[in-house]
Amino acid sequence: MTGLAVTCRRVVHIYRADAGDVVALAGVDLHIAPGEMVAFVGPSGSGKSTLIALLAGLMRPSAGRVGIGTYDMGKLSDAEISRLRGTEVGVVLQGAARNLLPYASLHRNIWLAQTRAAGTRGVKLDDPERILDLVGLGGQGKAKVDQLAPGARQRAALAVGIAAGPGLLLVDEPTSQLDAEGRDEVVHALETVNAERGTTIVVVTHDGEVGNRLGRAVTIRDGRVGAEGRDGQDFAVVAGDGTIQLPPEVLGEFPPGTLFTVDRSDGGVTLLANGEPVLETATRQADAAV
Amino acid sequence: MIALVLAMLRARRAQALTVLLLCAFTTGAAVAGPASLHAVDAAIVAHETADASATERMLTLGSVSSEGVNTSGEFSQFVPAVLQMPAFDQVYAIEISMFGFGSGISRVIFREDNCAHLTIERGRCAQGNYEVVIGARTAQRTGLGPGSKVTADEVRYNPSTGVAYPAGNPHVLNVVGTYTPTDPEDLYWGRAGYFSVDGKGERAEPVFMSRRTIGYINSYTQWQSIDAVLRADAVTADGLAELRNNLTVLTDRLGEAESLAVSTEIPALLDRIQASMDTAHTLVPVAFVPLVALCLFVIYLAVSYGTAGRRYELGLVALRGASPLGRWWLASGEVILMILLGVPVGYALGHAAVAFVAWSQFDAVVGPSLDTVPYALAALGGALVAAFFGLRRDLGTSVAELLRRVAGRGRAWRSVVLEVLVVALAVAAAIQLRGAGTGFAGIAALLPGLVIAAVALLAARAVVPLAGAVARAAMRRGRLGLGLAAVQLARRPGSHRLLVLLTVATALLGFAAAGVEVAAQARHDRATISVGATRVLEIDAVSTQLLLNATRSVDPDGAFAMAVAPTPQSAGELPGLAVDSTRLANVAQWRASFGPTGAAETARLLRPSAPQPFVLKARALRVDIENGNYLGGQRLEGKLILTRLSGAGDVTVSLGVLRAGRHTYDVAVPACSEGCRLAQVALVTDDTGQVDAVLFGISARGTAAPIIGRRELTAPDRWAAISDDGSMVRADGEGLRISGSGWLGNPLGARPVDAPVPLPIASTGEPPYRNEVSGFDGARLRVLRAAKPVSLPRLGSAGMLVDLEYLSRSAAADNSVNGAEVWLGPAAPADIVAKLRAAGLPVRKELGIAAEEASLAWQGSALALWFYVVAAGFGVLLAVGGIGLVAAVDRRRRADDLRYLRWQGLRRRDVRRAALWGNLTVVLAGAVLGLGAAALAWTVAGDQLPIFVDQLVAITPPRWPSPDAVLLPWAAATVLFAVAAAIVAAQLRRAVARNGSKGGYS
Repeated sequence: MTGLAVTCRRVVHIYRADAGDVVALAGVDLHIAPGEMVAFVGPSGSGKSTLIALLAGLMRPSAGRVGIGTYDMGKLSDAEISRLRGTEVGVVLQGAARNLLPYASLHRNIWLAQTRAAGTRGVKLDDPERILDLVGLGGQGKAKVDQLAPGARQRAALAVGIAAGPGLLLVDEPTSQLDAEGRDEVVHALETVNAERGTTIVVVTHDGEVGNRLGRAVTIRDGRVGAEGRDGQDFAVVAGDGTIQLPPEVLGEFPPGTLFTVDRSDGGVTLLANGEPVLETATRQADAAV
Repeated sequence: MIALVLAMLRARRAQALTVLLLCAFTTGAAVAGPASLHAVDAAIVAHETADASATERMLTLGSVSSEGVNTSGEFSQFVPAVLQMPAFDQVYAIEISMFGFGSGISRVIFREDNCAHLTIERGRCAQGNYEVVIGARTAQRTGLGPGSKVTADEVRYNPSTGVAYPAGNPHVLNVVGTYTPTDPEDLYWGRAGYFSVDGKGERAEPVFMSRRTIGYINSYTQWQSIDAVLRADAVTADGLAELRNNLTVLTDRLGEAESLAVSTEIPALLDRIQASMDTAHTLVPVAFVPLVALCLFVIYLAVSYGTAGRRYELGLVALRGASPLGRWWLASGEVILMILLGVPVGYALGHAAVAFVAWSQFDAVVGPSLDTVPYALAALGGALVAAFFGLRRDLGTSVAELLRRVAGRGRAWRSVVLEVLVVALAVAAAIQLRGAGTGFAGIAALLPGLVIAAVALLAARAVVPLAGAVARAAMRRGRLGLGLAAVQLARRPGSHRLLVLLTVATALLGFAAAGVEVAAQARHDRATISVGATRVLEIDAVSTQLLLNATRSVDPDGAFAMAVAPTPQSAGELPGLAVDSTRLANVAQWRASFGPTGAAETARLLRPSAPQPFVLKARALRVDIENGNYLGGQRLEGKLILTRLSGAGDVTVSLGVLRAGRHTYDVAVPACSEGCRLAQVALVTDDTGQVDAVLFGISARGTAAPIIGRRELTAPDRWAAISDDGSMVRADGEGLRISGSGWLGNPLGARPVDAPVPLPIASTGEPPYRNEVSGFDGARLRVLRAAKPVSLPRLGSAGMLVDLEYLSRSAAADNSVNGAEVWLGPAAPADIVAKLRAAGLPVRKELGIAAEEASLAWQGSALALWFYVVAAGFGVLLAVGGIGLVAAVDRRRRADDLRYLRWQGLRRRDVRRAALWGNLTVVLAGAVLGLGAAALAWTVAGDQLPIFVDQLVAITPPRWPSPDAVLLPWAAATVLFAVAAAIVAAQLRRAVARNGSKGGYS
């Protein structure tokens, strides 16, 4: 299967709680092209795990639209979403061991992840051993999770996530609690999957290095897309409602309520605080990229 | 999928084993109920059949052929129907009467296979032609023996007079042996009473001969019979209806034959067996239905708890997009497999438990029965439904919810609905049981279980805020161990459910203990009442006067011994006892349930004042009597009938033929030197004619003053006619006139009235027909129903009491009675038997209360109660398993919690206390609440437990058991629970310490 595109349009998610509602996502606009690798980065509580849970269909957005490939997730039934997770969307949860049944071998875990796809017409599944080869765990199919090293566990979790040959792989914190070597193995495995299958890969991570390795890092801040880094360069992002988040270090100098004049000239945009230019953030090229 | 499920089973062996055991318990309880009924039915049938009297197990078909009436044809026509009865052993017999074996008439008998039942003392058994064997005592008395020849003649009867005479057709018979009956009480001998004991204690001894010999004799009159004895092993619980049906068909058919006499009490025996079984069938479900419900609850608990522990795993399976069927199978597969495995294990377990109880308590061998398979399948269904409910919540939960570490709160309204439902059902059951009085039928059978469940559920609900308050208070005071334990009870749903389980198990145990204890007390009470007194001595045939005299001489104050004799019972009359009522209150076991009239008052009512008897104490008497109507030349003989006060029997003294006119007659009465009561003055004629005589006095010879003179003879209501055929007795001037029509064999006469007329009786039920009962002499006596008890000692709810002395005086003479007894009160001395024997009473044996009690213990209700104990034992084991289950599932979480607290500085001592009291609090609360629930259930339903199959004896069982009987098993169960709680607490402490060590903070 080739990669699936991901589209978020003004996605809002609110957690209802006794103590009051919490806005986790406050209007996320995002597009991920098929076969692209993207990292969601950002501080804890920024909403990146909520976003990936919405992409996985584990929750429904309070407002906005989430599209996976040709599917509008908001319009799918629970059963259809369940089928989607069993065939076209792979999910790897945070904590490698949490993705694997501890008493079953890797082969058996992969088999379990393939059962839904196996019963779906037109889906051709890889042999579990081939999948393990893909993540660098060839020959370890009979091992159980507690017999693997931490890095290998995470790759085993990835193997389960890609077992059904999904077009979209959602991975939550795959490198946390791993050393550099382990991280490299995991990222390498992700790159291999992407390269060989064209799978769209979305990774939630705190690790900026992972974002750099994946090529595109979307920073989620306060429930919105705050910035985006591509190939080592950082960009501000114009949201669907026309807003742009200032980088935190800039925001410190210009507190909320500061008035800007927007000066558009020479193909760029200049913000003037009290008439003085302070920030020139975007080029036409960057705008076009958004 | 199967491989994955097997991997799950391997990974969670303990939980899988728990479900298996619980299912085994459920199935065991479900099959133990009906299996118990099989065992109880078998025990009831075996005991009742073995314990039945000869008459109750026998069907007798007989016919008399006499001169001119030959019934042999009809008898032969119907014999095959009796012989074909498969469940019976038939014995064919022919009986004739002959002169020749000593004085009088002898019963001469052929009885099939009689040689096998006679012990030959001398010679051999009679098998050849014209051979007979005679009884050993007969041989001794007559001088006959082996080798003797007897010329015996048939007996014929004068059809008009009924007088027997030799037929004139003598047969020479050879005596070839003498015998004693090997077992005169053997059922083989039927109901013919061949070896009955007469009033002198001598056993009758008929003459036995072969079939061919009795055929040769071909007597004019012969009695043919078949005694069909119901074989004990042929009666089965399942075959009872068929047997009854066959019997009805047979007796209906035999009833059509005019010359045949059919008698059987087998239907009454079958009724008793059926009633006993019916009671057991009512009681057993009361024990097992709550147990099955408890088992299903624990399965629900185990599965829901186990599933809660697997929430994340279920979420992971759902995350992988497993189909609903696959998700359901992976969630429930291991449970279903264990349930399927548990059913056959439980089936065997249930049967084994019942077989053990049957073997140890009833001495019965009970094998597994396919009849219980539907119950096992029902248990399987119930277990699957319980498991489904346990799984339901997590199966229907969203993936995201399942992947959360902490489960969201369930919907509280469901448990509220359950509690309201249980309480409503309990109220409905109570109304049905107590209001409608239906007994333990329908929903009322569930009343104890429902009350217990309601108390457990409500108490568990009430305990939550209480435990919360305790937790807060303890925390504020720095008592962290207690506070954490209380938090465990207040917050964890597992603790609530464990509390419910422990409460129910403890309560079932308490209720069972109470039932068993109260039933045992009631049986003892009823056995005592059934026997009548603390001890009862059976006396061989004896005269009523001797019975009274001897008993009174041993106990002149009436403190501990009472003479008792059965009253003669004609058809349709109530069974009765004639008692020496002067000591009724001190000796008889009398209960308040007998009615408002107590023993002392009843005795007073039975014994109003009456004229004293005329006692003649002289060696010779002079009788002054006038024969005033000497017509037609008939001879009028005067007789005095005197009853010796010593109890040595009656003396009949003839005055000789009375001469015309007034004369005195002297008669010697040496037997009355110690005193005789005048029973009758009789006048006997030898022909038909009018009799008119006046008695002027009776005096001791040589004394001037008469013992019975004008004053006594003319006192009103002091004399009565001895027969009610129109003769008259009345005061006439100076004496007592006796007049009427006399004829041969119909003596006229007068008897002193020295007993109340009518005779007071205390009788249950309806008054006697025409207010008459049979006296000792067979005469009809007018009676007055002076007391109306509900029940009576020995007689139960159908019988009457009368004063022995008055009944004895009301008879024409001193009569010998069979079945006399001496009842003894608690104050009777140890050597009472020897004293009574010394006083002349032939004491045969002592009736045992213990034996009666043991017999009652075989009734269906008593047998069923044993299975209450089995059910309670199952319940306790379940509760112990529940403690282990809840602890096992909670252990990881609690160990984590305590470890984190330990890292934050919680003292080791507080960890220990929290671990111990977390479960111990639940155990103790459950034990206390369970005791309370049992008390409430007993209050509501305990007095309705059918303890006896019949209500022949009205007794009120104790309302409450003795405290020891309930508290001891309760304490034992509580200790068992506490030990289980301590063990799981130790495991928890080890888990905390182990994990703590890894963290380096321990």
